[in-house]
Amino acid sequence: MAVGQSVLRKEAPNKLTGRARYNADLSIPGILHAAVATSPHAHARIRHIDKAAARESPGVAAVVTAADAQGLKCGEVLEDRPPLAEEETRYWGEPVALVVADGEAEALAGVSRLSVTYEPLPAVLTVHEALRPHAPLVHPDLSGYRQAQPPVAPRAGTNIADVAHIRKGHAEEALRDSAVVVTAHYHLPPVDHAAMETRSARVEILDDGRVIVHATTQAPFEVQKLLARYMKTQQGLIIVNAPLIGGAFGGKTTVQLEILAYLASRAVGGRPVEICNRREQDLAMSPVGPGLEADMTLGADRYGRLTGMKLTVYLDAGAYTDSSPRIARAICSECTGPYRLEHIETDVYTVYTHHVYATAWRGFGHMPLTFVVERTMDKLAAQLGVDPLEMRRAAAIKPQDTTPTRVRLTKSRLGDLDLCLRRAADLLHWDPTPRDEGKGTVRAQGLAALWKTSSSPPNAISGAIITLNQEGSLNLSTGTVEFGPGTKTTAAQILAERLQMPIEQIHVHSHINTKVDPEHWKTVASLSTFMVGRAVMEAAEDVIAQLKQVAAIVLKCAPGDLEVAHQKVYLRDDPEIFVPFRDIAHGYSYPNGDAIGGQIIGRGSYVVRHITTLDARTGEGHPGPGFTVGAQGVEVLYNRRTHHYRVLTAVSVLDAGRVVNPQVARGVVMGGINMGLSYGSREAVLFTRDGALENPDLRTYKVMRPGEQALQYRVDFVETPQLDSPYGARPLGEHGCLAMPAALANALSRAAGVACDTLPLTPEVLWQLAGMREA
Amino acid sequence: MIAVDFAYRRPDTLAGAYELFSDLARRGENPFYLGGGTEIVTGARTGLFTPSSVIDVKAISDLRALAVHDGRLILGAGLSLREILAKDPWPLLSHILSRIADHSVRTQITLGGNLVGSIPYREAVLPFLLTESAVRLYGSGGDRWVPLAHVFTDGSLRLAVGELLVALSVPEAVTRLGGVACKKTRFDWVDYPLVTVAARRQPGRRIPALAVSGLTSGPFRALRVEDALLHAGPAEIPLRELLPEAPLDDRHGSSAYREFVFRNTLEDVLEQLGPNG
Ligand SMILES: Cc1cc2nc3c(=O)[nH]c(=O)nc-3n(C[C@H](O)[C@H](O)[C@H](O)COP(=O)(O)OP(=O)(O)OC[C@H]3O[C@@H](n4cnc5c(N)ncnc54)[C@H](O)[C@@H]3O)c2cc1C
Repeated sequence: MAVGQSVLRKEAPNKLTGRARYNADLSIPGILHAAVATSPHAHARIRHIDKAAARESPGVAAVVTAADAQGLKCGEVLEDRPPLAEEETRYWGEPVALVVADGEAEALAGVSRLSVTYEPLPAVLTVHEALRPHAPLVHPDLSGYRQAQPPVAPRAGTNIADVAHIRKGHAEEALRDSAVVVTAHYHLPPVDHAAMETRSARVEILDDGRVIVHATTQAPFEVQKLLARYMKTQQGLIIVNAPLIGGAFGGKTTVQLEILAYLASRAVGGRPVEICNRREQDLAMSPVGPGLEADMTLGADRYGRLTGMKLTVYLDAGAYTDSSPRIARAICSECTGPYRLEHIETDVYTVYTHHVYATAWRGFGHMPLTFVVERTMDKLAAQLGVDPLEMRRAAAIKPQDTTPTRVRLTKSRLGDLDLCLRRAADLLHWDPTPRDEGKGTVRAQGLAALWKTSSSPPNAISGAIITLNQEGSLNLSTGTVEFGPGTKTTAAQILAERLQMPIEQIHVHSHINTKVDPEHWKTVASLSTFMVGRAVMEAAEDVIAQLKQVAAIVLKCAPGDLEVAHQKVYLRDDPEIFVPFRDIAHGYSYPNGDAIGGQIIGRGSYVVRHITTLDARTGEGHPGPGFTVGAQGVEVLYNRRTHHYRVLTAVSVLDAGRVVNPQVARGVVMGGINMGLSYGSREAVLFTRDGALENPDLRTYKVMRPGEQALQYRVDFVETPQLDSPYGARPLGEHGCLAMPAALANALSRAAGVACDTLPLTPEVLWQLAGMREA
Repeated sequence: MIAVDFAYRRPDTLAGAYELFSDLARRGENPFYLGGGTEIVTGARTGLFTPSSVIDVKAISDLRALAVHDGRLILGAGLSLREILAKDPWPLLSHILSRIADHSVRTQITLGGNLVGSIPYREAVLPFLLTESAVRLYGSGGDRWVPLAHVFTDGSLRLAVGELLVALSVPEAVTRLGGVACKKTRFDWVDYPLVTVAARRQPGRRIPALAVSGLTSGPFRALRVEDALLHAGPAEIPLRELLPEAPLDDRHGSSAYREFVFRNTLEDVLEQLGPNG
């Protein structure tokens, strides 16, 4: 009924007309504003903070510094981050002090009157610098930090925050015995999320002890737990509200502004305080997506079969770890790409630098990983002189193979990569040979494959609550936040399908309130359909059972005789004998006024199963419930003289298991394609020689604009059901972007006859590479 | 949001604006004339600019001129790029203006602001550098028209303290002649230029007049490049000797890349202008 239909997203009409409310749209009378004084140095000792002039500035209610945070350290995995810089600043743009005032202008004026004396210190600005012997240490006290969510393996006395490994088989020997071996080095810069809505938070501490938070967060329940922990109060007293979100891409998983707003509110006796990132601040102060350096060696026998691999990745975590150690393990888990390899040696280092810190970015490390693997695959194919498509097909991982973390794959768990590759090649009219198009232009294609699982914690939970309105319509409450991919609508579709009723009669909570909505771990990892879907299915069963119980009395039959559909409960053998939802939703009343039953309230709850953390030495473990595989490609028109190019066609085929909402799925994938191509072609967080952010606004941080996108999108899906997921659906939220930079680089490498092993691929980079080739 | 308070004033006349400016300056203030405000506003947001007073001049009638007078097209410095584009009095100028910033920003940026502002590209000046242009200034030297070439030197407009750019003018006949403009950016359609070249045929000369922005620290009329092109093609001319200074080296593009792009752009421009270019 609803699953498989292009249903309008529940929040779409209000977004379209501008009526949708985002966090910063709400103004509360009497609210105070906090402005942030940020570090003008990548690394400096804070000698002195003179608050007097700022404190006296008109309208200023408080000035908050690290001293007010009482040594608090935050961090999802490793608690290494003071909310306000303590004795040292570790990145340009790091929050150092807050000025809380009547209005934003007063707060900003206060910041300009704050005088902070810094003593600049030498900074480490690349992972190479950070790993050199005697490099300045970003965290001299590394061993003293609490590990909030192991595993994480910091190395005291170095800038290595963590190392994660995969050891499977005998990579050394396998490579030694290989007929062909390719080795390459890759460099990918950090990237910004550049969500349309900048991050913001509002906190009020009430006199009864409740803390009311409104935030742009993908993880309201994480905010609740962390604030309770950090502030040593009950979780039940922390009430987090998460309204519609204007784009997140992982950037709204870090709990940053919520803590600052809390400290600010506490400093003014609990009055409501708002902190809203200006764009420049959002780029400089709040976390970005990680850059990395990687070396990969991949071998094949003389028939082109993959033999073994070695991969070393240095993740540029920036000044604090945040989720980087988890990203490192996600990279480990899928380090082979979607290919069968028995001999693997992978090390992923999380390295501190004096850059703004990194967090999740769409794909959780899989986009850079896919770049590294898929570039290496193309190089290997070139060495062997085989068609890169055929080589990928031959190497594709299959049911009964095991992953790098030794998960045995089944068709349900994995999906069908070969079908995706073939379909993508068809859509692209695959031709690995560049074609001369006259006037110095070349048309060339590139393909890349991808896979990803969720890398969620082993105890991630999700819940659903259904209440019935008297008229027989339903309210559905789940714990996911809504930032575009229509998770609420998907949940409603699953419910509508299960109850065989119109989706228009299902009403979703679009705003999350942790006090009333059931928990969903975090709206990340593209897991919402699966986890929420499971909870919704269970809640639907609960509702059905309750409906049948009441209806059985009304219809004088056994509950087992009944079916539910079209908002009715009816006799299976004679559907004309039925009772409509509206007669039993709030209890059934007999003609004389007697009533039985009560409001029907369904509940469902789900916890991921069989997920384990990875073994510290070998990486063995089970990182996620299922995989999504796919293949993507591009065709470019490249100008040999100017090195300019245009993406003519972008192709994506994902194994979606089951496409729940075709229109929305296409939209999500197309957005992903564009994001991947934008990163592939122009985006990079740049730093000056002193470590200052060089492009701190959207005039200089370039994202793709309308008109610059691929001229044509060809988006398709393969459907190999994941049997333990509602209606077989697999995750697909992040995947649209994952292989695009790799496909672009493969196409341009072929077009220009160079090795595109870095991003972004601007015409200047291609010009440089071409110059090196000629030299 | 701009953190600091400043006074905003909007005088009606040139004299009023200039007197206000002089008065405020005498009192030790740091006044700025305000055009579209895009540079002042973005600078003030990040604390680069801390004006204590702004004097909005763009509504003064002399700055809003858009007319042909005595055979010359006169364009007021207070016109927004968008307003000029809508009237399209000079196709070559429109061509250049249409590539500055994006539509919404062009509704703000003024012709005067683009020429006087500190963002070094000042692309709007390029077509004016190709011909006998004049500028109307108002300040300590009175209200005067001077040849653009006298006051636009080393890539920027030399204004005395408090001097206002009121308008620009070119011979009307010039606006009907052709010309080409070619803008090259790092990659994006909307971006600062790596190189922008404006070119116009010159009677009796084989090589067109060329004006260049983005390549070096300010726009310039490339007379020496024009001469060199009489003897060699864009790929061969000894570029470094012909430029006022070495090409810029920044995140938009390295010096060597800018040189490469400039040579290509010259080729494109000459080709577009045709054999008699
Ligand atoms: C998003 C964006 C993109 C841009 N892209 C480009 C581009 O591609 N190419 C390019 O060339 N430029 C570009 N610019 C730069 C822009 O043209 C300049 O910043 C210009 O100064 C803006 O004009 P304005 O009228 O807004 O100036 P304002 O901000 O009002 O003023 C700028 C300066 O000029 C002075 N001033 C203004 N009018 C006068 C006058 N009549 N007499 C004397 N002084 C005056 C002011 O006092 C101030 O110092 C871009 C700007 C933005 C915001």
